[in-house]
Amino acid sequence: MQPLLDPRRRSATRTGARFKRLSITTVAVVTALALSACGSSATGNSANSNSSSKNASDTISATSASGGSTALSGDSTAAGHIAAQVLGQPASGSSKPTDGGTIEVAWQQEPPCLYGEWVQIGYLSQQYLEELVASGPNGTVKPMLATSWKVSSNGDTYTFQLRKGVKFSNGAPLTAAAVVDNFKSWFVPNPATYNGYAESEIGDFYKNAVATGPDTVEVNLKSPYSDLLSVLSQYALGIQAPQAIAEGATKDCQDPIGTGPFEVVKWNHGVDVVLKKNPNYWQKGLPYVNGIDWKFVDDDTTRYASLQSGENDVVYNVPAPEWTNALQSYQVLRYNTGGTPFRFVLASKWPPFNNVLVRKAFGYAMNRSTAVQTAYLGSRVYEPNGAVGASTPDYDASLADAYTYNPTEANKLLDQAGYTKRNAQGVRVNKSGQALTIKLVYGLNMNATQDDVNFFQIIQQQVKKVGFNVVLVPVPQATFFSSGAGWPGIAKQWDILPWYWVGRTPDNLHVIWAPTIGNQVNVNNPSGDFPVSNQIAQLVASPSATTQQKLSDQIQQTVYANDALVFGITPLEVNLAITPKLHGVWQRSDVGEPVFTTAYFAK
Amino acid sequence: MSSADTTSAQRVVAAADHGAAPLGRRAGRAAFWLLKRLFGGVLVLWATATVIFILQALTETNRAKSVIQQLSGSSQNPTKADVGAFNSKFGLNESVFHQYWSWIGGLAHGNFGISYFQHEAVTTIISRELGPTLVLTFVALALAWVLAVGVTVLAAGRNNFASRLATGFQLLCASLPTYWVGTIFLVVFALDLGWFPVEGATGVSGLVLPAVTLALPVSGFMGQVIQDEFTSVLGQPFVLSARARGMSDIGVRVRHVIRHATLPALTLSGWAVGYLFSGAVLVETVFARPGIGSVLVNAANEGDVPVVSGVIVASAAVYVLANIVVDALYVVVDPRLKSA
Repeated sequence: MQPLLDPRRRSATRTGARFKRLSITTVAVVTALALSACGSSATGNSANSNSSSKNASDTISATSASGGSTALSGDSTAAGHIAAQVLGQPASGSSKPTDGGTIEVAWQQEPPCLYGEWVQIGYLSQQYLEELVASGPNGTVKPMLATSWKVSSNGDTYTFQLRKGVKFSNGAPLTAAAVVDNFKSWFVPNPATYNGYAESEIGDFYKNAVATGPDTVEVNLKSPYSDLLSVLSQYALGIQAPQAIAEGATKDCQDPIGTGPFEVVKWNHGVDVVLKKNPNYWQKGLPYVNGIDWKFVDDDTTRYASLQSGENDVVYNVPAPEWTNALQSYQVLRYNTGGTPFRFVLASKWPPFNNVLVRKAFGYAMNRSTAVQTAYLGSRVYEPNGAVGASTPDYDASLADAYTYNPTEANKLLDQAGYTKRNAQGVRVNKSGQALTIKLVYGLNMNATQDDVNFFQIIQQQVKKVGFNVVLVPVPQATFFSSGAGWPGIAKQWDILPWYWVGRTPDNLHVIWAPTIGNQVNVNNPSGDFPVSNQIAQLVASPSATTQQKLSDQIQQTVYANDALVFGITPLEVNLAITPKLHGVWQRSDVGEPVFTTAYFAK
Repeated sequence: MSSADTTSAQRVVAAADHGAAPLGRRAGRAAFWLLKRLFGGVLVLWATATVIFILQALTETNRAKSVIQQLSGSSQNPTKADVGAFNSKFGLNESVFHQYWSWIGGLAHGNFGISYFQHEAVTTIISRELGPTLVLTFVALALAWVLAVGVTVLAAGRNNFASRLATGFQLLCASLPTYWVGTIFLVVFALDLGWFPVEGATGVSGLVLPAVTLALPVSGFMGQVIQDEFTSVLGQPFVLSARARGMSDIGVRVRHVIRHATLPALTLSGWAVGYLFSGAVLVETVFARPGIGSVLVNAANEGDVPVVSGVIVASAAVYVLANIVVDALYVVVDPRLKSA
């Protein structure tokens, strides 16, 4: 095992190594939906108690009143589960696993395609696609389709030994050539297979992939990239059968073929994706169940009610009003996704938020902690720091009090900013007669759930007192996406965008605040305002952990406390409520995808 | 025994009139009427298709970019080559006039285009999803009729507590928001009482709550209209004459009056089909039912223009057909109209 990269060592040196490169992580930015953020006071291991949870992958678990349910908690469980996944043992549960049954899952959002880098695709695609390596807790990397790997001494060649006897669900064997096909397809400029995640993560480093033996793949890099394994473990880089790649988007999107525990039988658009057990699955005896009926139930009330009525076994995103009920009656799995928190991004390039005094006033006018409590009813925790979430390395906890509710201060700042009068509606106006109207644009059920909208409405009422008129503008997903890079589509048509970025690689600050990623304008920061580009450049160049910590703190200080460009709301969370009779479900330490490989129904 | 009543008398007269005419002429007249109506229907569909085309042509959304970004789930800008490939695949690089004629010409040949996201013909998607929505719509329409007629026959023209209650019930129904009713029904009858499935079931038990949810407002509207007409017909001489012959109150109502009173409700049914069809969008969402409504919601959210356009044209076609059927039914219910 000497030549192998020891995950623990890697983890320990991660802080030191992590900015020695240019480009980075850019998971599906707009990533989507309804990730309910949270972290619970119920279990103590909440995201806010930052220092204890330095990794981006805590599985938090609140559980289960009813008997026989799996009680999971903390990292140890996640580790146990990863091991279980790889070793093929049942993850947990008090009874002996039994075969059979179909798991009925009620998800919220239907993805536009069954293959891709959007996190909403990832939750589903993890059921039928697997990566070369798997992500473990604390940033560790575990074997998956590759059983072992060697890194050349200069760090620019990775040699993967593939697991023997693995077959795709169409019966084709997993060969080195098939893996090479996948690598090639990610970087070919063909929208059918092109993988934006691969491109933005490793496009700057990737040279080629070569099959050096029937089960040996060599990945050559132009320059060393220390996070390669971590990137290859992400949900967006699942290995597809060459047949699916050759047939292009129609196949990819409708009926992808992977090596995972399940295979796609049929996608009934607007209804469900039917998955059945992959008969060729390499982990013998798994999965226990015959299949999954993965339904899309958009309506919060209906989705949760379908768990209560026993029609579904697992529901995603428990609505806030049902949170207490879920904790009392079901197994609840929660996964605190790494990356930036769900937050407000302020449009700092046009009025009124181009004036830092107005931005700060907005910060003081909000009572975010109260609003989070009221809107989410405990299903999420408050995360004030808009720069990075508490589970991120180098999180600056001292910024927690940067903007606590202070209407007096807000009024003072707005007077200074020239918004001295109020119109008949009580909205402040400046000397040129411009009212202090703020457009909050969001994708309903896309990057904001109904609970999030409740939060926005509470904020709307809070800031009204000091003379802000916040207007809520829901837009469809198509508009949100097409607005894209630099956001010209809705440029100047928004003042606040709710935003988040999920991922487990530690480069959150770089991903959001570097002016360019690769050769493109960085679309991860919709405001297009990059005040810390110098510090980001230094951060990338600096080898010293101490310097990095200092720079990281400076950046958080600037974008949140000093410049008031981003205001945190809650860390991102994926939560699942599960019927007590279903055992052995766990969440991956990537972005909290549910894993049903080891799930079984109690007799 | 009912020879004295106006309707029957007129029927006899009408029958005599037409009975004299050669059968071929009658059929010819009916065919001409149908042709006229179908031609009118085609005009409506053409106008609908044109308006849809203009609307989608006016949207500023960069369609290629939006679709490519959604399909890959990435907010990275697609390359020019990607955008070009998309535009040529869907004919978006053609002139607006060319696009218009392809769209109208395609419709004429039953070709509604290809979905941006589902990679299959829009007609395939619609024909697959139309069934459940049509079933829901017509079951709801039938329920609305039963409710409206039932309540009216029992309550109209009486001035007692029960009739006021019935009128109040109809008013309440007419003003209930569908989404709210659906959610309440879901919680009470599916979740708390467990009588019906919460989501997705396509069988009869899964149809009850969605159909009742949709039917209530329509039955309220129709009930109001029927009741007005019913009350005025109750005062007609032939009703008095029927009563004088010793016919029971309920007999008079069911045998004579209802026929008159249903005409305006029949007119409303044409409208109701449209109302129910669009109401299905909400109901299908609440009960997670498959159907054209949920397809439309998804397509609108994703910006799948061919699917949205196709569903609208298909809905317009259902509406047009329903109105032709309603007009034909007038003649059946009221033969007086036959000579008109």
